[in-house]
Amino acid sequence: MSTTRLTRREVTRALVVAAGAGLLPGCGDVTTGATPEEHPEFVPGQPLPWRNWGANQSCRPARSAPETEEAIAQLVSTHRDGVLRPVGSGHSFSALVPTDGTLLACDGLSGVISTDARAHSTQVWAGTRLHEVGRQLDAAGHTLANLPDIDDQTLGGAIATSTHGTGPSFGSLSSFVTGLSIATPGRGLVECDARRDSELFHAARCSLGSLGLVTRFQMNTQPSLRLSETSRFEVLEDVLAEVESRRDQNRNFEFHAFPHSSLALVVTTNEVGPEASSHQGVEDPDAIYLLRDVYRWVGRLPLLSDFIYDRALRVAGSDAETVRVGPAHKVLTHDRLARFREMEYTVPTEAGPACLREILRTIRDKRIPVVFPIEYRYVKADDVWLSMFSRRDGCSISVHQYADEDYRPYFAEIEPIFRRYDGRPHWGKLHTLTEKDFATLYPRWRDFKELRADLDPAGRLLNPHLREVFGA
Amino acid sequence: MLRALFTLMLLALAPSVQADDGPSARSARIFEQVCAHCHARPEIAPILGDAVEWQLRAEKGFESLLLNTVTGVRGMPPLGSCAFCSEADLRALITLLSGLEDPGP
Repeated sequence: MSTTRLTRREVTRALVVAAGAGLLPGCGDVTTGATPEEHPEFVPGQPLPWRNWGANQSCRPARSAPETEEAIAQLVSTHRDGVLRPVGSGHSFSALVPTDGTLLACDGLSGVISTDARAHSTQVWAGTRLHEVGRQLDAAGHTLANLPDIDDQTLGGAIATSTHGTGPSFGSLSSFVTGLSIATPGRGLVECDARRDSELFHAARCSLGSLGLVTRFQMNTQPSLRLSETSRFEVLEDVLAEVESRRDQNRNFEFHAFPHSSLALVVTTNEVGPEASSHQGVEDPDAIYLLRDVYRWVGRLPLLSDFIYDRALRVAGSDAETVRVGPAHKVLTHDRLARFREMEYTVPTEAGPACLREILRTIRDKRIPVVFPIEYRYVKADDVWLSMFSRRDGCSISVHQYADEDYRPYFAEIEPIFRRYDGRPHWGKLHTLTEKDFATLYPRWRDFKELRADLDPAGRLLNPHLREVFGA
Repeated sequence: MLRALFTLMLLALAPSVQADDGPSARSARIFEQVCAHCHARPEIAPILGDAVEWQLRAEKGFESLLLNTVTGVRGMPPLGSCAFCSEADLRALITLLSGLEDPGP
């Protein structure tokens, strides 16, 4: 196996240096133009507009943030004034949140309520940000077994969309839930688990906020542990040739494939003992912008640019690597300061390599001007009705585009590939599927729809996006 | 560590708030719950009370900081990731972080 190792910062810095030294040819604009989104204007003294993290969704809503579970239950069951939508930290790229009715935040209910070391269990308010969940659990000697890449989301929002990390032994956050309380329009505040109201339990662990507003979760935990994450560049085809063993030999395994090159940044994470000293490595949140700058430099030589880009990446890859060591909740998550838009589909595990190869081939053959690395992760199957991992182990493949570029032409080329591999879209990320598509992708789709209609017959929790999703 | 220090400072100040225009208990709580994840980490964002960093931003004026907070700028998410915040909340938080006086809407 041929291996080059370097940090993202070193790669991009070397490339920029190379470009500046004349190794790379002149500057071509490979951007595809910003997405022409229109957002409500902010006028001081007028109601605040809401905008999501990706800045591709917005609305001008009324807001409510009750501070007790009873007040939330009261509001959800008595609300009659237009659409009511739950909102967390706004990290969904899809239009789950926008409404000109009322946004209901559960940030007033935040924090770890209790922990039980013997039962490896915790109860947490749904409005708790993931980074706070990690910090507070760690202080009590616990951790969630796995976490997503970003930890800015509220726990409620992340679980409502089956947000996930990577690792063949771990399901999404939804799979860690063993019980929950949900404020519903039709039945008030309901507690459910695998024995009590089990159908609601299996549906509400990934409900897109369409059944009510979950106020608290009971979740499985494990004793705190320390992890070591190593990131290094390798030749993608070398990685894919042994991807199953690499996946199974590491606690957490993922990689980021670089379009228009033969390389991937491979990230492996494993447990280390308490003696391992903490350090967070050197991560440059702006490196992704530098990468684009470099690609723009080579963009004027359409016949040679990929070759030069790939060579430059390889040359830059000396023998450096990034290692981060620390408590699990700090190592599993990363700061992502570069704003982007994302589409992610989960395909059956065995289809992952072929799907990724077809995506990369399409980008190359159609000369799609994208440099944002493609994320490739594994997630274990679960029994949550609408989780992307419902009843099947999954390989989640994510494509991104910078927020200041138009993602639509790129995503439109890639989405049909995902669909050919029986992919299920991440609920919080961009997709164009509708009710009839979901009906074929999810075995319990009809059951979920019936339950939703029973709990919210007037559709007060449905905004236009969810009406399209559910065909309501 | 910085986060814990800021939190202690804010909690200590909060009870005296109404009396001398210090940070309100609500602002302190929002800072701890939402803002501190970035604004207590100097490698990510300008931290509470960093006079040099905030002076650079203060030159743009309070309203410019408010607009950037609402719409998001660079790594700063729209509304500072606080979906439930009102304009008054954001104004109070900008004053808390930067020390700039709020001219009012």
